[in-house]
Amino acid sequence: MAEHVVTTKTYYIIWAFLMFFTALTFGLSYLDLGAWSAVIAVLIAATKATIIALFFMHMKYAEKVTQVVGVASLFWLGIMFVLTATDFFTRYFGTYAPQ
Amino acid sequence: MHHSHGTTEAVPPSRYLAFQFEDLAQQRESATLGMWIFLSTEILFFGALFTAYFIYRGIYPKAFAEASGAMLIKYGTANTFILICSSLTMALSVHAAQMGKRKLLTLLLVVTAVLGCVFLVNKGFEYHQEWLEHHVPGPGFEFPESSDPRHAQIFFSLYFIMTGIHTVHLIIGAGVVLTIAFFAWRGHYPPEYHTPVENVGLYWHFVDIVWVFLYPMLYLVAHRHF
Repeated sequence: MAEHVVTTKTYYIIWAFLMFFTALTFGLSYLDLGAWSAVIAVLIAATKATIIALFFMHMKYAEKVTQVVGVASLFWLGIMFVLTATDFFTRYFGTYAPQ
Repeated sequence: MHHSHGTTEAVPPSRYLAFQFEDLAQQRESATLGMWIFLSTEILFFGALFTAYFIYRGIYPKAFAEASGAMLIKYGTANTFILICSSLTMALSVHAAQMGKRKLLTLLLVVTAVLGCVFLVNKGFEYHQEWLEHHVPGPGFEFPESSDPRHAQIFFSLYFIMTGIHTVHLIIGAGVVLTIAFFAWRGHYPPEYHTPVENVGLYWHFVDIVWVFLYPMLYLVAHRHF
């Protein structure tokens, strides 16, 4: 398959998005959004990471098998997060809680 | 010579083609796939540290918010912008390689490495100040502002381990980018074979992505509520 050449214009647009989202997450951290502040910060970070992977890292144009490797690594990351959390965050149900 | 089968004329194999591959496209795709498999191990490597962070933050949210409030946010924010700019110059390097612009490719790679070094210098100043403030975990650790210094120390431990390993990755990345820049300048990466540029780019962007998550998790956790 011929290699896909991403235009420099696309790269500049992605860069502008990344700069904007960084400024946004910095600015939002000064607002008191309660529990939402962490959720929004992680969502912004995930958005930035996604567009870096899709365009700077060419995942959007990659071979299927390469895309599968990318998605699979996220899947295993999810297993690590979820299974570990099910232990630690259910350990103290109805009993002693630290701090 | 007459070809009776009507097939296209045989093209002599490229000097860049290793014998085990059918063609340059297959060779390039194999290299990219291999790089992504390596990056998936890196994702899980950093993922384990992120898991530790989530667990301890979940258990000690107040200590983490207080400790995060002591982060030097100007360094963290400046470094986030610097890494994003370095990812742009890295992406533009790949484009320059595809276009066969040797000098531009070399220049962009050097600029990428220089931006990485600016990040490292910033990080050095930041670590130095944290050392002076006794925020480095260990016998000299002090954080009397916190209601819970013992658990705030867990935050600082994770901060130094995560940013420390990220910094090691960046040092390696800058070294490899400079090496690739040298060979690019010598004309080793024409448009038909620029896989090393592409793959060092994948590594560089990955290190950027790690920082994209470290920045809000370490610097922006309720620093206002301190």
